[in-house]
Amino acid sequence: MSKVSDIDQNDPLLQRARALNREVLPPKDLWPSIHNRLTERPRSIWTSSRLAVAAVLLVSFSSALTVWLGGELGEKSNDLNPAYVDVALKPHYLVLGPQFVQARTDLVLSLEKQLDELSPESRQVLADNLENIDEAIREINTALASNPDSALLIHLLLSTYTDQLTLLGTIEGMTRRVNESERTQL
Amino acid sequence: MKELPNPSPVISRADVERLCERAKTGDDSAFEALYRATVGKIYGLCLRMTADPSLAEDCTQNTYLRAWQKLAEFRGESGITTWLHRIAVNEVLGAYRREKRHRHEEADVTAIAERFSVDVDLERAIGALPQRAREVFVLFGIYGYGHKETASLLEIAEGTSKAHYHQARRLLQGSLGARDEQGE
Repeated sequence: MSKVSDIDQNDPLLQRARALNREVLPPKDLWPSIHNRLTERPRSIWTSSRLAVAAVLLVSFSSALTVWLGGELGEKSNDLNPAYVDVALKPHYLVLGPQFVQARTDLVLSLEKQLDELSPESRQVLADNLENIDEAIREINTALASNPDSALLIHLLLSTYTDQLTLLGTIEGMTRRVNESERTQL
Repeated sequence: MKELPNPSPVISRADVERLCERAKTGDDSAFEALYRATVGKIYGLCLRMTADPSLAEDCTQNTYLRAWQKLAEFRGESGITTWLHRIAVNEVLGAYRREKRHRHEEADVTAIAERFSVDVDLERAIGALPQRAREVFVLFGIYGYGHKETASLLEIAEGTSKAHYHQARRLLQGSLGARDEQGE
């Protein structure tokens, strides 16, 4: 607080100012709103953590598969032409790991709740995009069923999963920004 | 001049320390007790610095959210009010930066001042000061911080704080003098 040298104790204006009430209660109780915001924050962190886990798992999965494909297919062919792929190679590596599937499922469920907070138009656009990706994944899997050793299809499937996760992450970021913006305006 | 009651419950320093320790463990009821004991001081500072009741509410809420996040850093060297004041001033400055809500026009604080203040004329005159002069006058003149502390809180040079204070003082004397002459 003020040193004596800082102030003129005889200044009537300063004495008048120092006599003012330092405490002013807000016109409404702010605690309920503060408390709500305190308890909202962990949910956002949880969602981000799940997204990070899913991303790490996807990267791990992609890297492992790429290394495996490089090792296995590299010995079989000089390019990715399916005609050069040994039909004895079975697509057991296309089964996504349970941790990845669980993280992705949790992320999708969380996002479905958050999507409700976006405008109907935005929600529809995002839902359409997700549906397009799901449809692409279904079509690639159908093609893989009849051509299970196609390296091109495998790469395409991986790329589509990556797109899907990127879109999910974008939506998660959007909804979080919308929520934060709304909280700021409260 | 009218007498107004102290609006916040008074708690001892020992109680504050106990509440802080409990709040650091995630006890939100302890944090609520801290809020109830200090909100008058924080909202009062925000209201006078911004001269904007709505923005003051935003800054007050954000102050407690930030305090909750940084509670582990509070070691008790300064009082809890001083610590919260520092956060509140940062919130006010941040709000100005984000929203570019620099207000140089006279803010309508009369109605609010009549509710809480013993000196409505002075409150109105302070609310009409230019933003930086008002902030310095509030911290130095009302809340009793020295120029060094005021400058640190506002992230300005000490000499700048003094200059703004003298500008505020000159403007207030002019404004209050004019009112006195008009018989208000």
